[in-house]
Amino acid sequence: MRELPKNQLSPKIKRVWRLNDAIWLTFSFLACAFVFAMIYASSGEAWGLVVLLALLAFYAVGMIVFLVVIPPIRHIRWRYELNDDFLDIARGIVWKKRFIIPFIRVQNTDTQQGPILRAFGLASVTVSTAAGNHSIPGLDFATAEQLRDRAAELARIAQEDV
Amino acid sequence: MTEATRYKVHSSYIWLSGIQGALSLLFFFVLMSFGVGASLIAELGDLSDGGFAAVLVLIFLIVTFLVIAGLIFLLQYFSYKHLWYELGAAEFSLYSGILSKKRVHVPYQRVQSVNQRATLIQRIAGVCTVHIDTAGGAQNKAVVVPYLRKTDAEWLRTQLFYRKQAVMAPASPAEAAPTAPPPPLGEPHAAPPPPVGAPLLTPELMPPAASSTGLPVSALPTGQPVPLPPPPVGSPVMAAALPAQPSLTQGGLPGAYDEGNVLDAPAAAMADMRGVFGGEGFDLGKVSYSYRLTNKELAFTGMSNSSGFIVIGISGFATLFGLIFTVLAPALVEAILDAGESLTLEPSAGILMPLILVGAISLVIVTWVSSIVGTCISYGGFTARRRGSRVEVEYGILQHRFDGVDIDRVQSVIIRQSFIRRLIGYCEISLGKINALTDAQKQNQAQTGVIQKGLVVHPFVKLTRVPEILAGLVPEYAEVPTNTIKLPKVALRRALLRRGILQNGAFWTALIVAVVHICLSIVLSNNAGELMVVNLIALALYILCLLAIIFEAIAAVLWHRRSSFAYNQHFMQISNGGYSFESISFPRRKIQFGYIKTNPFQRLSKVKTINVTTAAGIGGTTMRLVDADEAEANAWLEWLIPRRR
Repeated sequence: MRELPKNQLSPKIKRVWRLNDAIWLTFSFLACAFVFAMIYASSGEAWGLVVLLALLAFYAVGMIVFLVVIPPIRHIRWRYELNDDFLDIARGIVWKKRFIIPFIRVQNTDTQQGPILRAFGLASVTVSTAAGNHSIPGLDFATAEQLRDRAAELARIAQEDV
Repeated sequence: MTEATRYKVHSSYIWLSGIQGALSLLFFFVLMSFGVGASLIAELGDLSDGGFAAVLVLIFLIVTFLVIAGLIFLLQYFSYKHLWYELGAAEFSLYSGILSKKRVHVPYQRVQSVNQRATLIQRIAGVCTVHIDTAGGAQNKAVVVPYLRKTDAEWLRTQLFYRKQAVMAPASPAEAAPTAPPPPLGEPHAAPPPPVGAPLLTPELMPPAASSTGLPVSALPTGQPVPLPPPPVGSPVMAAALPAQPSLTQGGLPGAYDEGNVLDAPAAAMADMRGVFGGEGFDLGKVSYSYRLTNKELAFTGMSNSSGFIVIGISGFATLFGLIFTVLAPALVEAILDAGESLTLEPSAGILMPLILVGAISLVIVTWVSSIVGTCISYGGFTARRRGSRVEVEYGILQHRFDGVDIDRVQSVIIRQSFIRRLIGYCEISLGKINALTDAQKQNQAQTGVIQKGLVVHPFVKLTRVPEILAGLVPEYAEVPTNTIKLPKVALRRALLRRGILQNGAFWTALIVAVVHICLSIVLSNNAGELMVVNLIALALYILCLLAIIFEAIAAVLWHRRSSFAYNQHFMQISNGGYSFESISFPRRKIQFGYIKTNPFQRLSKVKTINVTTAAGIGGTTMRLVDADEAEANAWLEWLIPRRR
């Protein structure tokens, strides 16, 4: 087996993941809770309260799992390496995946920055082939620029056609 | 830059599609007038009074119809006025739209394949619809040029392919100004067939720049060697196409399978009939290999491809049983009521029953046969050929389809065996290519979820003939790997566990049945009669589930026996077995990316799932082989890494 790719994502990405997951968990919790709270408020039946409490418990467990347990493991498992002519990505906690993407198949590369990523000074690089995209999330901005330029340069020798 | 010439589509665009629109409108109006007439007669009671009103209504309807039909024609006329295409220096452009203008530009190097379709009416008129498939990332789009004369369609196809080749060849001086003089529309621009052994290129097929000297195309002496634009770097295509072989028209094609079938004659007649506006024939280049279907193959294609018959059969039998019950049930009830007097059925039912039975069965048979005949006709005149660097497939007697794809655009060769085909040792060969969808097809796909299959180059062929066909049609795929790597033993165990138990609905059903059974036995413990019935039902269900599990287990064993992967320097092959079998071969340079994936149990068993993605289909196709040996999978991943030149 090849050794695992050398590079890791910026440690700051853990905070981005936490923030992201916290936001969607909270939103979905609020959306569900609102419905049952309305039911409980209007009818005053006990089962509404039970459901609300169950939702709260789910929410708490979800917050612990997604904010405390998963991010460090995901960060350890997410590895990439930019070789001379291919991109090597290894990721996944339960389902481990190992990608080899030859640069001569890459059609374009670009960097993206959402508001959260920008707040932490990070960016993600997306590498597109004719049959799907691969993105490396959470690199610090300078590294992302560098990686994009390098990937673009290597992709330039790519065969034009598919 | 000079203004590019505007090419119009054929004028039948106005009246042919106009007539089609008017006909459907007419149908609607006839229906409506019947309805109105009926309600009028019902309203007024007798015709003497209603006659005048009915005539008035009829006149009103006819006038409305004429006005709307006129509007349709007018609309067609104006959209015809604003519909044209251009062959620019670097791209093909299609302009359309009356009020909101639409312009589609396709750079030549993005052209994947050029296909023609013609309905029966279009064939009679000698026009067809041209689809230009592009590879625009994930959003593959087909450009549709409607109502082109056959000759123009053929010319456009050749132009597109040659301009593409000129653009793709970086060092070629030809790319500087690929401005071929357009053929004068309405004038025949056919070249005489080249003599045997003439150079590969006919005047029409030369690089566009060669004709920019100002010479009219047909004025060039036939057979004069003209420079061929250099092929794309690393392309084996031209090398394979260059050894000139006698053309098809000269007969005696080496390696060709010239045995035809009964439908070839009418298909040839239909093909010869170029329609009213078809124009003269157009020589498209040398054919190095071609074949048709034999009678047997055609018949089997009809039988195995008319999948509709299963549905028809099932629905037929369902109606049959429904009928039997509706007829029998009253008769039975009566018979039971009259028990003792006479146990025979009513005489009327006795006569009716066989009649209904025979009628239903013959109906099913007739629909099945006609579906077979329909499939045979749609595959009639099936011809696959290799012309230069292109693979062309055409078929259909009434509705004609023509698909042409450059060998460089072929992503994979797929050999498929359904269960029935496998039993008799036959298979279907198709080529994977990047598909494009027209807007209408896109909506259709969203609704039905139908994914286009590849280009079928032989719908029904004996397995032993496959190498010969591939060698003739796609000689580039000659060196597909043969050193197949089988799956390890542990894969069989895992497959049995997975397909027999974990992913097997029957197993879980049996489990639920068992739980219900136990509960019922406890509840009914003091009622022997009902318990007996419950036990019997449960037993039947257990047996059914067991059969289903055994079925899946056999599938797992077959899968393990037939599945494999293989790779050599330039090619890779993935085979997946089971009751049906599918083997996909593809060149290494068509692999977009590959990955291996494992779950914890796989890691425990030291197996990995191999995934490899090509750009075939829409948005790519991923071929998967579950549970390959870990070491082999790792070696494969190493192979995937680009080699230094």
